Amino acid sequence: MKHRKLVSLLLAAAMALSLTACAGAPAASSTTSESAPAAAEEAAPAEEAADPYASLPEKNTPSTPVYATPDMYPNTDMSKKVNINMYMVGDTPNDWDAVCAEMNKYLEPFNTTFSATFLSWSDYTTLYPLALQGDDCDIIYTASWCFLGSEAAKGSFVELTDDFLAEKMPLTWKYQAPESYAEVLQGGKVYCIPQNVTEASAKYVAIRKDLADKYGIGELKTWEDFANYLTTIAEKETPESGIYAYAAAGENKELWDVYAQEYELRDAVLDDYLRMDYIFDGSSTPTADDIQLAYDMDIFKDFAHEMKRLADAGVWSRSALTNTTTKDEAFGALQSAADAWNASLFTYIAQAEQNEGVECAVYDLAADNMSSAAYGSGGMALAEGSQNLDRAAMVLDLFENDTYLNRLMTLGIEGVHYEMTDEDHYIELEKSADFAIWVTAASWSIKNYKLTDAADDPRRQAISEETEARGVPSPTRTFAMDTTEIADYVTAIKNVLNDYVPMLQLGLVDDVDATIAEMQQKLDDAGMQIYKDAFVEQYNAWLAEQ
Amino acid sequence: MSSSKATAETPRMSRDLKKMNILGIILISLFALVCVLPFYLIIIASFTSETYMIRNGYPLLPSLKNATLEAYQLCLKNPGSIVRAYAVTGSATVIGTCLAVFMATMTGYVLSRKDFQWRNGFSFFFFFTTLFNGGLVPWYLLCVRYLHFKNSFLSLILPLMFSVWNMIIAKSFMAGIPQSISESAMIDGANDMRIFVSLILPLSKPLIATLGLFSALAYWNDWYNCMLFISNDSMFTLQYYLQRMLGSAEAMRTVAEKSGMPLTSAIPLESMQMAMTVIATGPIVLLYPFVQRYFVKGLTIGAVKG
Amino acid sequence: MKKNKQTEIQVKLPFNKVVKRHWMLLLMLLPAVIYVLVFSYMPMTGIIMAFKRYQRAGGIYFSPWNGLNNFKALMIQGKLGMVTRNTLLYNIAFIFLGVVFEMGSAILLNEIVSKLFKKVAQSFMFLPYFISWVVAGAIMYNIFNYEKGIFNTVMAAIGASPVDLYNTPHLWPFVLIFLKLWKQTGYGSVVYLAAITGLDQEMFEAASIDGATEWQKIRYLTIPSLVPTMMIMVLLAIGNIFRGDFGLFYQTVKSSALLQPATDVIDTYVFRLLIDSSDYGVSAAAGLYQSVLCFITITVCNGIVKKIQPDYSLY
Repeated sequence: MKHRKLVSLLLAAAMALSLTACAGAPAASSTTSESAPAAAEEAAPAEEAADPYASLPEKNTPSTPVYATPDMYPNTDMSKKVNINMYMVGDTPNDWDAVCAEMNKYLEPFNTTFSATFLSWSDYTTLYPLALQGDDCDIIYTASWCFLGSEAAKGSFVELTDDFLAEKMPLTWKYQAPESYAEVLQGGKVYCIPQNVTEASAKYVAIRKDLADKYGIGELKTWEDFANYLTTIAEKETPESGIYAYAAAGENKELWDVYAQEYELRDAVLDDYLRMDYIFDGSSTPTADDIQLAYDMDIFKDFAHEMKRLADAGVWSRSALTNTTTKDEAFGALQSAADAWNASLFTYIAQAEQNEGVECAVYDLAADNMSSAAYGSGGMALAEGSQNLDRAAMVLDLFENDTYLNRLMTLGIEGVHYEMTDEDHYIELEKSADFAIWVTAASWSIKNYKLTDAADDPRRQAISEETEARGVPSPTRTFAMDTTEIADYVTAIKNVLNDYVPMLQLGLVDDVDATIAEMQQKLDDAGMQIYKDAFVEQYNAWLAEQ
Repeated sequence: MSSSKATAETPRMSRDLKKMNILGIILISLFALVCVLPFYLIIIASFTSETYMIRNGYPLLPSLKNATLEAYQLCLKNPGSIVRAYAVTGSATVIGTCLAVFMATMTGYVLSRKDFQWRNGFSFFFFFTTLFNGGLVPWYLLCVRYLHFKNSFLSLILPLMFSVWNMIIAKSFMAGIPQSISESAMIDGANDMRIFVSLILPLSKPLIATLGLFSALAYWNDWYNCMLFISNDSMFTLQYYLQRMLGSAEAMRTVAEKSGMPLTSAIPLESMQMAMTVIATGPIVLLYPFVQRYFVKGLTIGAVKG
Repeated sequence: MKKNKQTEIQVKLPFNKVVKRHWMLLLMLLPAVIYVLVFSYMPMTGIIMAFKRYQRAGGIYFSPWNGLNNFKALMIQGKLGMVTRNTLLYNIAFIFLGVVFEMGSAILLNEIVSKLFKKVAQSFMFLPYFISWVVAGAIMYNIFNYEKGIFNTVMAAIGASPVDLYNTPHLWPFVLIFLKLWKQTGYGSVVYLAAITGLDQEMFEAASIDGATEWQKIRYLTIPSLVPTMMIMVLLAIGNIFRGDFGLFYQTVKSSALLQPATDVIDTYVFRLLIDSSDYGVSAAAGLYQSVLCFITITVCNGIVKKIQPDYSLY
């Protein structure tokens, strides 16, 4: 089979070494040379035994890559050549044409061509729903923030039943962890395939170490330390150099996350600002009584008061609601003294530290607590309007599982955009500016294992590993609220929350308690009780099933 | 725009004309200044380093210390695409404007004819479409499924080709042309189309100039149709490039917030947005006084006869 | 056709006579008729979505009915009244002040003798039309934000107290009206300039000879002769009186909830309501709601105008 050979030559030497672990598969990897376009090679007649899956490794890992063959898809009619088009959000990478050409070479034995349409960030909110109405969309990226719920309700995605997966997507059926679907369930049904590896996530805070030293502030361990740092900067540094302690913009979700983390707050429902939360004790599943709307909880009230204190102290701008320069951009450009977010903080730290005399530090204020491990809420879906559903399923199956295609999509062309340094570490090559690692939307949800940039900041690796070690999945993660019946109320509730929560999070209100009471009143008017009742009912039903 | 005062432009200006002039110049200058100020800020900002702007906001005065060409370098990384976008926009504007003016005046003329007894019915038939519409989806599906607008140049021309507004302006202007002109020509045996082309159009130069300007601006500023129908970047219009740069900043921030992905490092800089605005509008602004000359000519020629 | 009967003084011709006599006029109408049939009337049938629960499989016409639920979804929050009122009031201000500014600047420009000044001033007044609301919003923010804005820097320099615009809702109606006029005046005055140039010069000369002052000529000659143009422009604007200028209201205010009571219009409200659900049914319902309100308003206004002066009416 020609693609197997192609694979072997395109994988780096490190990879080839690891292949020996894999029994039957690329025994043909005698070609360690990195040239010779194998795609031109004639397809060898199939001489394998009846079971086409025999050559597959037990698990899809960096050391046991998966290579698919057409005979693994006995239920897919491949007699006609068809094109499968994938829609992704985001701007087209400069080198997309080259990468896509490689994909097409690989797909030749499958008698399929592949293309992609990128929906630019500036207009994906308009074009995404329209694309699903058209008929040139076969596969599409989706996520909880990217129309998963609303388009599933419209019936724009194909439901991925067990039968369908087993029949049309054998590799996904074999390798995809069944519990990974928990976070993308819509009304109990699966419409997309999420990534196949959990990632522990935590929110950290980044500060300017040099400024902390200047004002004699040591290591930050708790929220109080961080708040103290912020107010100190606002009091002393802001008048002097004009930089904000924390350049909040639009809302303050990140600080809320950091704050809530200390209390082990977990979400049973997380739909933008609509959060049903509980305090996680580390093991037991909460009862419906334990779960409350986040904004009804005392933790949020305390947080809102705290935010007002910081806002009044001048930690961020009084125009923060309308500010459009993100806190990250501001931090990277040395315009603020603190930032808060996940591990991508290091991107902005790197920017800031390019300046002389600037030193940053990242702290986990909840270092003793658990971190949450999740598969993420994005995935690849099949479009209802697809003209070649079976073939689209096959192509998606290949991108999800076939190591060669998977890496083309996520990392680009080996030797051009990236290079593997060992099994699970890569480095970016010069051309990676034209096809950045993890740039395509698909790459966010087809991960099968963790691959790390060998050139990453060691601090990042350390804190990520440390977070990973504390990862405990939420007990409620397989609970998915079905809101189809009460969709109008949910829309109205979210609208109220959109109006009030950012103000409260930014502390830009005159009277915190009065504003919260006003919000609760508006929420009740919008049907909050109906939502809560539906939640309790569904949650108890789910609980009974466990 | 000169014209009605042409006769007053004698050496001795009457005292109240002088007073009126002073008042006019003061008021208009004030307003014009307010209009120019933001553009001035845009230009300054496009040459200012991003770090300076994040720290201090937009500068009011240019300073060499913080000046940089970085934003322009980034915007013009691929100058070919900008030149091509200019060509696409330019040709769509020229072709579209000619068609749009013709459609609006021809239809407007028919509806201005007092002897055409269905004119009010048809006026309503047209005007009704400005009140009710089926929204984006049916229109989009029609254009894509049945008219095959995807990546077609027609999609940049057709959607703006007929504007009911312009048609009504044309109608009301032409209603002011004495009906006797049409009537006497009809007695001479000329048909309606001929009357329209050889008598009415020449008398409607101010109208043509106005509608021409409106249509040209509509085509020039259009990015929406390009966004909906064009995915091939060699057919992007200038305004769509601009719009993409302006729109993606906000969208990427929102997505980064919602999804937790580090998109923000790829957001177009504010100075880039300003530079792109200058690139996309600067030439047309510079061109405007030259176009305006013809525009004024059109207006005055019409006025002499009208 | 019913309307015709009321206004036409001429003898009514039967259908086939009209076709016979005016076949050329009808032919000239044909392109526009086909155009609106295809691009407006055919998609207009999609209004039906306002009463449907849109499904991919059923599409526009065969999705299940949803009663009035889409309208209920719009009203659930009780905000619809407020945003409708805002939209109406803002548009009334825009229309009224728009006419004053556009006509006023056209008349003033016409009075000015210096050609160079006129040309430069007019070019300048046109500039805002080319600036997208996104950029205008960014500039606004940089002029008016509390700590670093140019405005407050200047205020501080002259010792005045700073203005916290982004936390002061009651200032926003003025700001938004100002922005609208700023952007629209140069463009809108073109129609009036064209109308002025179309005026009969002899009339003005005769008035001058009779000793009329400039002001009298403006008051008694220019303005009255601009009324037909004005009426058309106003009626056209009234046809959209329940539609907000989305870019203006969205890009300058962003999603600041603090300012919304003073700045939210139907279009921004619906946009925020549907931002991550793309519910076609509800957006069709919102569109229909606006259309019906506009339709009622314009029918009444056009009817009144027609009573007073039939020549000024739209249809």
